[in-house]
Amino acid sequence: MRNENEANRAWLLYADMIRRLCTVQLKNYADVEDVFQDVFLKYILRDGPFISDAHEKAWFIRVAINACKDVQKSAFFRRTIPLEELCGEQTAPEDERELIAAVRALNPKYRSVIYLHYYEGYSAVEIAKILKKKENTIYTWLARARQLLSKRLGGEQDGKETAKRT
Amino acid sequence: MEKKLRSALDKIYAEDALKEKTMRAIRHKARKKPVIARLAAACAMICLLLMGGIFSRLYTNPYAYVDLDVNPSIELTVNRYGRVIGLSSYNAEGAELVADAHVRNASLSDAISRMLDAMFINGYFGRDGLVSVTVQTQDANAEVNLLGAIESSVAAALLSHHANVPMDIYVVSQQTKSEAHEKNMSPAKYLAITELKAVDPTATYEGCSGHSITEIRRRTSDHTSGHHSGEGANRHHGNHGGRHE
Repeated sequence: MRNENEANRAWLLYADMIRRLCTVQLKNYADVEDVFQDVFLKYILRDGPFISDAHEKAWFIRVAINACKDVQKSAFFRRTIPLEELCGEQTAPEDERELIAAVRALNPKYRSVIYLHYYEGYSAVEIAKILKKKENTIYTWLARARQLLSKRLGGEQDGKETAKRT
Repeated sequence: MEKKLRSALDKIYAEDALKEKTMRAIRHKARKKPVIARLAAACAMICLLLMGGIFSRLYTNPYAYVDLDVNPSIELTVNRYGRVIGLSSYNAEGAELVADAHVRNASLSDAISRMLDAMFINGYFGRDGLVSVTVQTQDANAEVNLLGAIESSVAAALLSHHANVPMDIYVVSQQTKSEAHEKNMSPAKYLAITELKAVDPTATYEGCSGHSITEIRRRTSDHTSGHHSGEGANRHHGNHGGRHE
């Protein structure tokens, strides 16, 4: 079991990342609190060591995404609150908020890959390893997500990763 | 898109209040114990949750009541997870359907579809059919989602039977629900009879309970010059419990 110092260290390194994941995935602040408690409790209770910092970060990403999925499953009657309420004072200019709203309107699985690719800078291959999915699945998700975002926002698509099918 | 997304998300961070709340919660939950005792306690907690206790209480706690009135009249009790945990009827036709229904633990949407299918199969949709659905819940935030889910299910069921039948779907207050329950009828029928009594004092709840809502509204319309309501009524949303205030 990890101690509070380790929890604090993990908070400094990963809390903002988890908060951003929650912003794109979840509907209200109570769910964000639930996810944080779930993720950090799992971290505290996890006994096995991490191979590397990258391994640790990937673990946090996977656990946070799964925690968001669990919360979404039980959120049958919860209402969606506007982005401004979910982020409190952390509001961005209108065009950026539009983009975030467009991302939040995507299917949950697309939201994660958009965030991991465009913000965290992971390649499709890396995302596939983190989420334990096939590479082609991630390529497909990224392509579809970009298509949907482009349609909604009427802007350019970033064609960074194109599907590599054999 | 990448620059904009990065710029937007850069502004998001984990708040101090969130950190305090999280740390307080995990300190409380993750007390130091020997590994084996912790595992045993965790297993015991999981068993307790799975076999009864908190989950059972949450699962079996009524969250909303959905009354479906086609004449048969039935009531579905729904939990916070959108699952049917109770089914009852207000009349003999409803009792027959309820006896054969297997909708416990089904989703609300599924349950409504199956009950409407059963009503069609048993020939309960006459020439002047009407589907009246009322919802009563303590959680005002849940009303919109509930109404949406119900409307979709009813519309899909009507479409599948090629039925051009109007539907009324709306929220009622707890008071209206209680008053209807005392009269052993659905809130929709109770409200229809209440409207009739306002224009025809000879009408009684007991006397009208065996009539369909369409028939009751037709009678109301007959008594009210120049007003037509009920038949072919369009779908509308509103808290009809407020009409009694």
